[in-house]
Amino acid sequence: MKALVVNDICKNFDGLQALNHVRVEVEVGERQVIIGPNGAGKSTLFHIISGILLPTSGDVYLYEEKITRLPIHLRANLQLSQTFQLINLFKGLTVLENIVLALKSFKRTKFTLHRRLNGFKHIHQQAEDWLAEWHFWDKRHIRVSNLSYGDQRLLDIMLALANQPRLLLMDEPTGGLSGAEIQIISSRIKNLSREISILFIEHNMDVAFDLADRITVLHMGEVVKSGTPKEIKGDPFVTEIYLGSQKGFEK
Amino acid sequence: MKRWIGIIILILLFGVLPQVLSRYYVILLTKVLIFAIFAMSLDLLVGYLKLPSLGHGAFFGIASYFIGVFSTRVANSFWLNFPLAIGMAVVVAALFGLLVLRTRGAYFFMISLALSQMLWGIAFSWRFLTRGDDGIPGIIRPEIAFLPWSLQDPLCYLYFVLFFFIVAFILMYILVHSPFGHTILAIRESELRMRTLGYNTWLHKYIWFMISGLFAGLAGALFVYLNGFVSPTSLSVAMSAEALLMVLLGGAGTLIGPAIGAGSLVLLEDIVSAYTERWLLVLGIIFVLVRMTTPYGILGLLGRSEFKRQRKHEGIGS
Amino acid sequence: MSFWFVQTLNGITFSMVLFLITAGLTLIFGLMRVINLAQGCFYLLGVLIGFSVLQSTNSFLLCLFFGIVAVGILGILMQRFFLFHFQDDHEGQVLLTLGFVFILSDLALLIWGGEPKLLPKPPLFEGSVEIGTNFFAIYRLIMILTGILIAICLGLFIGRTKMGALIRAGADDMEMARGLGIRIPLLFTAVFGLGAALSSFGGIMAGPLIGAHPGLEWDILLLSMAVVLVGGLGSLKGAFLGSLLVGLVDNFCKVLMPELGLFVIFAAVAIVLAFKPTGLFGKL
Repeated sequence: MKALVVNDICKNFDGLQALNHVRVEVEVGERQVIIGPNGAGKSTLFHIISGILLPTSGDVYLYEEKITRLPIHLRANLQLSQTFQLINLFKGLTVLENIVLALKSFKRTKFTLHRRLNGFKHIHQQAEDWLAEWHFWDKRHIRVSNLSYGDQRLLDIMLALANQPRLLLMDEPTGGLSGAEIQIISSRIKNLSREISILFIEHNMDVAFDLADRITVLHMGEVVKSGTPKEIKGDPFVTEIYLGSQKGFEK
Repeated sequence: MKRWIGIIILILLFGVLPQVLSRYYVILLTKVLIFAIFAMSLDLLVGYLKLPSLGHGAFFGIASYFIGVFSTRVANSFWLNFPLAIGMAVVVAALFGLLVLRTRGAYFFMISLALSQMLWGIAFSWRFLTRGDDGIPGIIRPEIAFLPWSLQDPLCYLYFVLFFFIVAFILMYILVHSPFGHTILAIRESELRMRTLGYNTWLHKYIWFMISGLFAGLAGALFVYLNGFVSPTSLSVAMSAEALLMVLLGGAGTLIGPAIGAGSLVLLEDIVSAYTERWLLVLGIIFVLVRMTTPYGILGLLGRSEFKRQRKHEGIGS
Repeated sequence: MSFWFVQTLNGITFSMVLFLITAGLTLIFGLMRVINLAQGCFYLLGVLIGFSVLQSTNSFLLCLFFGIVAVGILGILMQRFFLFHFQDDHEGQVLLTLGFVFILSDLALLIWGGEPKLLPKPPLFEGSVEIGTNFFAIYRLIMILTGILIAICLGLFIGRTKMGALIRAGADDMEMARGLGIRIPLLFTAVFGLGAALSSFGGIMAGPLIGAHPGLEWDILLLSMAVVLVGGLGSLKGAFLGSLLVGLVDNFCKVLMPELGLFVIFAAVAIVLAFKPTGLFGKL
């Protein structure tokens, strides 16, 4: 059984063919990175997998369950999670409040009207334990907007892990980070359990080659090649695509 | 803590002061309390869900009309009419919510206005039931068996309304601070993230919408008993707009703010109407001035910390 | 048969009036993302100013001129001094226009009083013309023709002229437009004034048929909102087709089922929205 199968997906935006018969497969426990120049359709693909967009045709299967038209929150219930390219945290709340919010989602407590939030000790305990594990415990009462960018990215990942995902989508998890911060994020990702299959979008080639078991190249809405990092690195067509665009091989 | 002492003092004031006031002012104070409930119910939408509704009068008015029609044609029983009227408001909220919650921003504004105008149109045209523009007069406050006093007495009715105000305030306060309330605030900040975290945001909003309608209905029911009369004005845009102004004047998202805004506006209307017929003109000018100068309302002026926080994070293009 | 024919033409007549107001709403929304609740007031003030002008000069032409110019200027002032400060705060702008509705409508009541008024038809267009077996008022035909003419002109203006291109650019991508050096504030003010003028024009044109009465500013606003909700915000084509639809439905309802009034219109709107939340041609 594969963790994710994106089968023959097409997406048409008023005449613009963003995705053209795209097929992607993610094995259980695999770390697969999608790379490609800007406008290749990577984000569109992600949005279709996560449910933000509906495809024009084709299907998406999560552990062999068809989720093509399933609402976003139900996909989360099926343990699909994602982090965002642009930081999408609850900036007005503290670190702890963000985590509690994420954990609360799958407990029945969220519909309770009659007791104050702090009364729910077990969720708070779980949150605090988890924050300690990730060395966030002493920052737990800091408002997210006051966190460093790197910390925000880490928190983003934590939120996505709250529902114990089987498939995690990460849209440029190291975007905008310094070298040291990238190291921290990368090692965190590497330490994630192999019960979680991960599909990334990455522009930073070093990170991509470092983390990936498999790399899939997207260009103009089509999959042009999919293979191990070694295979992709040596492929002349891939090199040409990248030398032709602005991004190139980032350091 | 200071906040709570202030509230308790205010409530005591409402309890003690009326004893020495004339009948006219007792009735005015009652009106203040009723509109405070109405404004707070709207704040649940405006302040906590960021849904500026111009149709809130619909829930208020439908409860008023229900009691108006039932008490004059069927039976004037408190235990029958009062809960049913509020239930009616919830039903209308449930129906409106289905249509309205799928929209955002500009569309929401218009649809909420349009739907409530639809109700207004029915009240205006369906003369058989509602007597149209003439309204339904002669609505008498019912006798409530276990109360030793009669609601006919304005002072007694004031305390009756005060009781409901306190209950409503406490309930809404608990609601806002409950896990459900927190979820709503988070949805307000980033609905997409909440959905990817597994929350059925539409359902949350829908329930919150109905709760807001419930309290608006409560206000409407209390209002019709105060006046003894109901007309399409209760469902009008002016009613919804005044409620919105009360919320904005006092400070959206604080519950107390809108209550204060309601009090201010009701008292202001009373004062202005004594000197001129041009209340709507004054209302409009206040609206414009408030918007131009203090978008965070009276409480914002007083420098409440919540607003500093809000201002910091609203940023560009929230 | 003749009944349906006459009523259809009557409906279309009203549709043209609706279109004039809604076109203004659409232009303003398309560019500024603001719903101008005072649009109905501009309509009302147009008729009332026209009424006063007509009383003193007896010239329909002058009436049109002053009505359009005065209201246009009012719109410009409103935008320049008040709405301007809320450039990106759409909610604030809508609420501001709401405040102006109260101010303007009460002022209108103060200045002109509460009695319903009707403009006299321009003598040139009085009388009826025979179409088949029916008599149809010439003035109504003129209104239909004018409406279509304006629709075509607006369409050409937006689609083919430089100014129109600026408006479309601003509506599509504000940042880009600013970056290209387009004087956005000036554009906003101009479009707002245009929207107000269109509305006032509609009011004066419909003056002999609908006239003015207290509360009209809401009635007409709500109908044009129904148009916009059905036709979709930001689409001139949608505004035209939506106006046709709503105008016809409203007219037939008034004739066949007068008790139901606005209810039918909004019930229809609700049904459309239930299936397509952004309206038939919505660009939101």
